[in-house]
Amino acid sequence: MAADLRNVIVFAIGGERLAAELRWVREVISLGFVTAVPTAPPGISGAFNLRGHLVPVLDVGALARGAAGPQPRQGDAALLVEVDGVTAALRVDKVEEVATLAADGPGAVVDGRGQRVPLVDPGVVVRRAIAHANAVRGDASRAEGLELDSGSPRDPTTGARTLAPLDGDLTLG
Amino acid sequence: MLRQLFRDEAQVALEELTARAGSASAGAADGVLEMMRVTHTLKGAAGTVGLSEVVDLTHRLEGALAIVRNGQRPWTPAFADAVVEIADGLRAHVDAWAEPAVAVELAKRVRELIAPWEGAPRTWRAGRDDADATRVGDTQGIPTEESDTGTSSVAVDVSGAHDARTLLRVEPERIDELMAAAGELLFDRNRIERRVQLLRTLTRELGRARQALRDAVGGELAAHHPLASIEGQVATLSTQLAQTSAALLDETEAMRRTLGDLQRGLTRVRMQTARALFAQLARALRAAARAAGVKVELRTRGEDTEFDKAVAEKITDPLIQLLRNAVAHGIEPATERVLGGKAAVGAIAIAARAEGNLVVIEVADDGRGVDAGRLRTRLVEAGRWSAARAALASDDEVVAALFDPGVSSKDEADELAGRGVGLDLVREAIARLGGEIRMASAPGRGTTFTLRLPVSTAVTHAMLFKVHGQVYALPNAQVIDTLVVEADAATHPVGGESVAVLDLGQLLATPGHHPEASGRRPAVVVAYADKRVVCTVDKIVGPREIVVKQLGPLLSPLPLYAGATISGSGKVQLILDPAALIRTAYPGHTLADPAATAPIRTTLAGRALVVDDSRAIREALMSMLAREGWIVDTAEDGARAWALAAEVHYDLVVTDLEMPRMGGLELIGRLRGERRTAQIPIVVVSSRVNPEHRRRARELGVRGIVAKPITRRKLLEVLAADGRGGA
Repeated sequence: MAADLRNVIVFAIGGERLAAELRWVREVISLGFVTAVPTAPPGISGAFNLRGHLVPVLDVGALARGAAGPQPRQGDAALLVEVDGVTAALRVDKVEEVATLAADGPGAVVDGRGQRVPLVDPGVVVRRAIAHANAVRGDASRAEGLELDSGSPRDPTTGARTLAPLDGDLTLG
Repeated sequence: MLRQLFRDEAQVALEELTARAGSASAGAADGVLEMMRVTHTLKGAAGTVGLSEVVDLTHRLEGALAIVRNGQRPWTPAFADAVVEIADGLRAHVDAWAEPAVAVELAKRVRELIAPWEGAPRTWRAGRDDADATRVGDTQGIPTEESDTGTSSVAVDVSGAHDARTLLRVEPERIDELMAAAGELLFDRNRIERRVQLLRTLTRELGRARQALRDAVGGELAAHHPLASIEGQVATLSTQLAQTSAALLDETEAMRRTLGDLQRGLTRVRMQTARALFAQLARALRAAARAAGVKVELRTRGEDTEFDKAVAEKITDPLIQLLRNAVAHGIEPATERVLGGKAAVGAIAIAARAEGNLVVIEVADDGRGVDAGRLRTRLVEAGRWSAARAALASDDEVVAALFDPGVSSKDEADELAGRGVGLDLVREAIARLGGEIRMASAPGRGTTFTLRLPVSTAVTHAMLFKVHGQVYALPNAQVIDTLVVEADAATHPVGGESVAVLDLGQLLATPGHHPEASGRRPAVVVAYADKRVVCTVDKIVGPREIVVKQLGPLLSPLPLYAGATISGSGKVQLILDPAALIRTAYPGHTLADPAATAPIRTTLAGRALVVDDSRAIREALMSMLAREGWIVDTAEDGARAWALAAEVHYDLVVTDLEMPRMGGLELIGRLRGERRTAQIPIVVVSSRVNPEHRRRARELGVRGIVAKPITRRKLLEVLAADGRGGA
């Protein structure tokens, strides 16, 4: 059976090794001074200045792994991802390698030592963060109206796109 | 005084001389003639002021130019360079007037520069030997033909140069003072507008009180009753007051227009062409090339590109850094260049052009370029990048690493790392202006930096303050005062009114920081719509000019923020939304939220624009809307309304259809066509509402149509209706 191969970047957060598909990742960066954003929902840890642009910093732990990570600090490593035209930085503890690894089901890959590494979908992470932010405003219709993903299904009667379901679409290791 | 005038004039003349000497057409007879004319004029002016040194030097330069003009000596890049240096020397000499000893020394140096070019042409090559051996563009050993190719590629366009003598030169500080004063006026105008609105409210109250008086006394008053004459007086005064306040409102509207003109005019005064900037860069480049012992030729393009003086000032140093890097680390020694099949003299091109609201500046050299492969290895070896990151990064991203702080430290400053010297600061300076910089490089072929900058910076005046160690900003337009309040005070008197106090320390609590309330605290007073709030902070930083940046889809849903800015040290600072602060302080009070899809209710307060060519109807609509808590602006036709809408954010537009200059339908069409104004609720008032009008208005998404004569009830019904209802 031909193995299903994935181009991934392997990184560590909170002692856990995770992988993300390379197609989402534009750059590996180190964070500049991170400004805290009071009233932001858990998962949006702050914002920093990347080459003159304001980039939000997201907490993958809080958004996808059920455990909030530490406050991001200047010099921390991060993956710069772009999802539907939205750029964000995912803080990580450490970037390990870029590799082509065999898939182990839809939600994980197997690394060179035969260990299973869960896949995190940056698309889901970013969309979930946007949904959380919209929830702060308390305007659910706005969240639904956002064209987050051209692939998300349209409601047949209203023509509105529905937001990808927030639970159950993330792979758990 | 005369001297000062002369210095200004000399400055202009010498800049023109520099520009012309570097121009493609310099060698043409006309070009030389023009340079002679400029020099001659300068000589005359120097004579008038009694600067005999300058008279002598310009006389000599004129002579040298005449030799070329008469065909006794060819126009060469070396001569062009000498002219530029002579112009520089003269400039320095004129500037040094306060220090005679220095001035004499500088004059001596200029005389030395001119000497080789005076007199018989047979000495022209021999005479060069005593000159600076590493002179930029020195023609030693370079065949004339090649030099000619070099010059022909220079594309400086001086044909459009203004006649320098018709220009007025003004100290930049004076313009800045005017700008600041205009900003103050804006502040004053806002205060006056608020007072006028208050006056109108009081007028209405007076009318009601008069009615109450009538009612209390009981219907008909006997003509002889003492209260009858008092009531009559009150009635007259009340009418006069209403008329005066209406006139006052018209006048504040006129004031707003004039202020707009004033600000736009001042902004235009600040615009300048790239000419002076390029001349300054040329000087810096010559100095850098001389220091590095490199031969390099500068080509400039787009000297007439205009941008804000403030932008020009702030990009000068970064651009000089780029030129220094190019000379020190980009351009190879002549021998290496020739071996590589390149012209012995390196070329650096600076081009400026306008692109919409942006100015694009390109700095390109034809030097050795950056080897991304080697840089990649270097980054990993130096431990700056992980192997994974290096493997993932494209060549462009690797090259962009040169912009990171400290990628090139002194101990590794070879030609590769050297390209990164100071680039982090360059990028920071560009970012602060709201611009960006990109770098493209091909090994062996050269490096190009592309800067994109706003023509004028999107600068807003803001009040900056600290809360829990972080700096926040509020737009100055909504900050009416700063003061000190007692800790734990729930309200604080402002202008005789008791205003709610909002503790920003509590509102902006961050993890790890706990609000501390001790003693008296500084506060900013925010006014928005018809409400005010006193916001306590930890420390007032003061008013600043900031460049506003958008928050993006992840942060813009948060109601508390209107935008962000980037501080001088590169940190993100959040701009608070005054409307959100008012909402937080007055939870029951509903403000207009232009983005809200909910139907407008009559309790909304915001800023409305009433457009009608009849002043009576404008007045009537204004008073009806003001009673509902709206701040109302008026315009007498579509054109004026369109101009106002370009400057002011409106939450509602009420417009007539038939008006001079620009009718209502055209106005609505334009508002709908502009992204910023497309969502504004619009109500049409018209005396002639035919089905065709109705259809067009519907197509344009008008909220409702009110037929004249307008009554308060009709207007409120339409305002209360949702988008599909109305009329």
